[in-house]
Amino acid sequence: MITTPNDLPVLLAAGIGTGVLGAILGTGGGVFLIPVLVLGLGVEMHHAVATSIVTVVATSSAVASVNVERGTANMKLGMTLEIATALGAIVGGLSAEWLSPRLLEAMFAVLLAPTSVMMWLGKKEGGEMTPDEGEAHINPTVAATTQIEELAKHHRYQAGLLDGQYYDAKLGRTVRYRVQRLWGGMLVSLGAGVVSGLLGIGGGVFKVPAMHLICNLPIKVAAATSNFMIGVTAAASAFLYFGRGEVRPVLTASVVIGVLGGSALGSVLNQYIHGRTVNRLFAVLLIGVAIQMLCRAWVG
Amino acid sequence: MERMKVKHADRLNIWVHWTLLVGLLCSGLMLTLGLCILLTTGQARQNGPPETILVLLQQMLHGDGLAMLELGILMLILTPVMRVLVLAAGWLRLGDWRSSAVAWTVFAMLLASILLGVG
Repeated sequence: MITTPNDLPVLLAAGIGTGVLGAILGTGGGVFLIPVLVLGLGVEMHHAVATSIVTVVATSSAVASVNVERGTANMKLGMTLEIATALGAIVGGLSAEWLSPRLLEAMFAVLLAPTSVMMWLGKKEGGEMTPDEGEAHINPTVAATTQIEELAKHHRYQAGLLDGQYYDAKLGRTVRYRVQRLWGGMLVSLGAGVVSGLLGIGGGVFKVPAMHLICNLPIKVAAATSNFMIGVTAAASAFLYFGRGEVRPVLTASVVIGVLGGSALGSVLNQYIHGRTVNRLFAVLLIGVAIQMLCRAWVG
Repeated sequence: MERMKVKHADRLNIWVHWTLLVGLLCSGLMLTLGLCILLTTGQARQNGPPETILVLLQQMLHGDGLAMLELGILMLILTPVMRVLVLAAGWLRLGDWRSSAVAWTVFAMLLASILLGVG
């Protein structure tokens, strides 16, 4: 079991890597951490999953604290989609006895492959205003929602309650965006919740592409909002794992301390990374996850 | 009126930010201290579910590193739940009934999933 001081540097490093990935890509990092713990350090699978779930909570909280302050995370959209995710998690948990997680993993792996191609190619962010439209109307004393409504009138479309804006340091301007096809995001969030309840992952690998490709959110907003959501979903599962005594304190604490440092580092890096790079990193991650899921489904 | 709404909305962001920060700082501190104590004393964890919160608190006050870690992890898990509560109450105060109702629904579902034991 991992309790010796010699293992500490490896656990801290794994935590830092998970935190950096989570901060940039909007995932909890479970898909990266579990193989490191199981294959690299010989941790039993159920302890690795329990550690991963607590890690998702840590990544989400650490990154969200920064993103909320910067205004990158769309909290209203996150909370709305969270209803579907929480419902999915309950369905996933209740159906765990008669739904085969392996079959589900194989199905999602097949779905992730084309999604990764779409993420690599990126999406023309149709919901985003042009720089001229945005900058000309910025007034710090007027609520963002009011400005968005004014812009909507100007451009003759119905302003949504979930539309938002954020300052992109890399682009050097405020980006305003519209939330489109909310039903699509809700549907994928429901599926992400089912998978989360069944497999013990945060579900960010499904939510980020859904928000970016279906709801038309800028990739950085999709990642930040996903990060905001996954902590809430994972918290419910984490209580169960904790209550059953499956969370190993020394192992979990070592990884979590690394995650807190990694998340802070990732949040700083995120400011200077272009959205297109995030798209491509995410596509690579999706391919990795698809291969991992296929292998697990195949081996059983 | 509009300026006041902006002020309150900004304040809500700051509340959420601080809720997360305080939860993380407290749990991070407890985890670091507990880990240092455990690594120096070499105390091993017993199998099975953890003690009750009251017992853990008593053990922590006696310098038990393991209890400190268990409580630190519990505090970390509670942090996102507190965030949902702060948002639900904050939006209610701002008069944003729709968002507040959504947040309370999420909170109720969180409780339900914990009670149902399905997470």
